[in-house]
Amino acid sequence: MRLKLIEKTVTQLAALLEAGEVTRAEVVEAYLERIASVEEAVAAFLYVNEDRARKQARLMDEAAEGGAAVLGGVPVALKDNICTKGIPTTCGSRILEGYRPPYSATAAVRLEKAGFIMLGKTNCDEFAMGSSTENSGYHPTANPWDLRRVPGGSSGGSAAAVAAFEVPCALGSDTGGSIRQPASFCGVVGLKPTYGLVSRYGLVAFASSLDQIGPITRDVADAAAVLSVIAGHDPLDSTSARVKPVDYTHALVPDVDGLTAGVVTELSGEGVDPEVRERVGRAVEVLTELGVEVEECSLPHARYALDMYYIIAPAEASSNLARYDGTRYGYRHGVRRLAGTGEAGEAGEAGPDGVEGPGGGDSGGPGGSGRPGERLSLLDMYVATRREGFGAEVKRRIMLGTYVLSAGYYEAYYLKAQKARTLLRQDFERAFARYDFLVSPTSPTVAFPLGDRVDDPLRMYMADLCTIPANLAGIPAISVPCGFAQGLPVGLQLMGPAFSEELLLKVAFAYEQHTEHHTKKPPLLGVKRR
Amino acid sequence: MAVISRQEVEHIARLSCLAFEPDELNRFTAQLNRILEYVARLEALDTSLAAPTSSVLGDRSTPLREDEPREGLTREEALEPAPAQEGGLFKVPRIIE
Repeated sequence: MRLKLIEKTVTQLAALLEAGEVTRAEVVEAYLERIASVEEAVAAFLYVNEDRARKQARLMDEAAEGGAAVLGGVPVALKDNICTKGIPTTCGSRILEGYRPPYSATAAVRLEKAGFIMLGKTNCDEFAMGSSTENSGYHPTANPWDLRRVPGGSSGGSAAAVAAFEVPCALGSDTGGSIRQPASFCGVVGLKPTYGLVSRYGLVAFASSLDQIGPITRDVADAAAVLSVIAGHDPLDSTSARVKPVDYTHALVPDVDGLTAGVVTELSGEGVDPEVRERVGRAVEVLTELGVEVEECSLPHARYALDMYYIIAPAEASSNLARYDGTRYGYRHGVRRLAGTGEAGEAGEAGPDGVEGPGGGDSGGPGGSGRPGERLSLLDMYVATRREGFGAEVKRRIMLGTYVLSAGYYEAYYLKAQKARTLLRQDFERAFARYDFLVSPTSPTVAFPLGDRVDDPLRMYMADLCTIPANLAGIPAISVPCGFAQGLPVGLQLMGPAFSEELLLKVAFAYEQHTEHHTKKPPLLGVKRR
Repeated sequence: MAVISRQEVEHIARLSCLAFEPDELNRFTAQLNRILEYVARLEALDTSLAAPTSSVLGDRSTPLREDEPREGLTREEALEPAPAQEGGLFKVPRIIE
């Protein structure tokens, strides 16, 4: 029974709960049991919200027994860069170890109000910077389809947790592909909404002009259901779009006859694995069979998208991450927070300012410059804190961003990239004047082996080749499973004009109804305990 | 010909409030050069007629909200996550001797 329960979709679970055929407590226990049995192998979570989830389920069940109309009770997991009041939120970074935010993200609040039970926080690349989740400051996550491979990133924990049946749905965030690429690698559905559709309030900022929260689910209907809950205007986010609430599940009609689509040449040729190309080609054939008129289409500036992204995103990140200075929250050099309490404890012999010299900590390099016990200056404290708290990729991007924004280089890099971004947006505008939606692979390859690209940042960046253009243009895009290559899932990406989520969900739904890729399950993960 | 020298990387590290060991500095210099050489492809692109995009919102601009006071975090809530605090303030190393 329990195994069957964890394989239900969000939509199915909601129906079972509403009919009273299963209790919230049973659902939560089934998933907690699954997490306990597979987490050692998958390692998708940074924090399992066990006690609170159990309590919330019990309270909801009691209210329902008492005759109250209780909504929902479906478990959800959140990427760890989405703030949850009183619950650890680390962004996969050591610099936020032990941080419990004093407020929750709007997306988290909306899910809770709709009756979702927050089961835990999922692993990700540090501050969402990466394409494999290997940049997590805590541990890597394994791909449930092949435990020796990456789940993709940066929302790799969310995608792996959904694929491994540890949770029926999860939220991720997508700055350059971080929802879609891991969804593709793990054989699940990932939707990056239009910039501004889902509030970014409480999403820890990486690159503010690109970041967007979205759902990772096992099928398209669930993506529509979760999006309906989290989308909509939020006065707490100044870039939140003033759109009326939409029930996206109404878009789930498998009728795409007469629609037009363009297959993007620049995202489907060079650099894309031939087997991936072949699977996507077959998916395009299915769309054609369903009545979609498909043509080749060119976005001439898409070949520069990676270049633009690796200037613009680090520039914004270098500014956003200036806030981690060991003053208001998170790690400070020489100060250890006592686990489980809100109080700061001081390691070793701390100086009178709560800061000790490098001798008492684990450092001694260029961050500090003195002898043990010597008091650090404010600037030394900042530098030592950041040097010890940030991982290599985050430092690389801060450096890159600082460089492209620095005097003498701003125009050649940052301004140039912003102008190129305009040209790419114009390419999309022209394409959408002709086509209802655009098609490409989600990722140029299937999931690569753990450790394969960690020493080669540029090669890692190539994993985002097909997903980055949608972020730069601010448009919505969805990845749906479209087959397997070398036994690993391949994703089909559909992109549409701003606020065309209903259209994308409809096409994705129609495709899904005519294929069986989304029903395939990763090899049963055995119970493995040390 | 390297785009960015080791000395420049050191300078950027100072601007970024970061610091590196000598071997890290060498590695970062090599990696940053590879990335910057790659993105230099943009130089070939004629952008003379394009206005820069700073936001994709365009004319979906964001009107200012009414300036109405509302409850924010309390002082205690804001201070709670701080590594060090004293007397209702964030505590940092001494700035003026």
